[in-house]
Amino acid sequence: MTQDYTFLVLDHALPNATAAATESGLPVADEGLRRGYSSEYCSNARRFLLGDAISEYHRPPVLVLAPLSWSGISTRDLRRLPPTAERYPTPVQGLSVYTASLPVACAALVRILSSKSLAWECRIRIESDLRSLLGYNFFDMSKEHEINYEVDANTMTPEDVEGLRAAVSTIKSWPYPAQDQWIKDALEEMLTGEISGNERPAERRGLRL
Amino acid sequence: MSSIFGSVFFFTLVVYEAVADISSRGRTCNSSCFRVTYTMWVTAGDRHHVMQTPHSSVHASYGVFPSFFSLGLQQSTIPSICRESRNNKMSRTRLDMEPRITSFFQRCADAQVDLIEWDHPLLARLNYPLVVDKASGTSFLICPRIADKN
Repeated sequence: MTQDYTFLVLDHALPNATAAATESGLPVADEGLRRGYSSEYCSNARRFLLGDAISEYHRPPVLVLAPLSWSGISTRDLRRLPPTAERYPTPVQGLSVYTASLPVACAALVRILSSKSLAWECRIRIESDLRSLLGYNFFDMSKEHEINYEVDANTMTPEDVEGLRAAVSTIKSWPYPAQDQWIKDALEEMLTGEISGNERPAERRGLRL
Repeated sequence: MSSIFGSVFFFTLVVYEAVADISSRGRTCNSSCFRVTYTMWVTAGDRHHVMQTPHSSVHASYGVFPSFFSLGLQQSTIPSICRESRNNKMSRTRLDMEPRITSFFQRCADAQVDLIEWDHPLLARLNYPLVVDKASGTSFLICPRIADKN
């Protein structure tokens, strides 16, 4: 079985990446193939099939290539993975795979959420990803299966409050440039539930991205 | 033992509107905050039933994370038998990797095309909790509260 792969590439390298996929014999995915990952909603994304669906309930595995500019991430914010990094076939001589840190990824997701042209399915996906990232990075979720929502929905223990404060404090310490300070506020609103799913983080502050 | 687990599937259940009413700084906010992941065992029959659950979030989730071998998984949530299966599957998959994918990677290397993680590879590296169905290698995202109503 084959897994999905989703990558961003430098904008000027997208044609070369597309050619590499085509020359490798990967068929282009049909336009009608339903989209799942956020990158598949980028109008310039290229999708290739990596195999057959394992059942009628699944879609086939795909390779998604999207331009880096869509994410708003700067190349200087990327980190190169060690050549032996897991989850990628090794050895592939000369292959460079980059990743982003949690602060960089969160900022990118907030920026994308601020886009007016964002499809609602993509918005749901990104909001979910962002909240999951925040939740699982800042809180002990190991007891989540024990939560009784009927009882706990209006309850916040001192430990919860302290955890929330610590999370907000960490986010405020992230080294964003001056023009991106509003993203910290947006992330704080995500943490505290002050922003609804229909609001765009930048528009809420009168910013136009 | 193996025959029992042979008919059992491992699921991840995700609540999109999970943690509500979190207060801070003296305010109480009524909005969802985090997606929460549940894991549970269901029978093959129930698996089919859950997958048929007519809810947009369920359908939207299908195929979103197919056959992803999570490394960002919270180990504490996984029964040992599933963890073992997952590890076996990871090794097997690496060996069976499509030559065309390897070819793609090699061609990118030759053309000096840098690849940048995004979506689930990035999220997994950032500790996104995904769980893989031990039978198919596929992870599922299903809302249990909606599923309960059905």
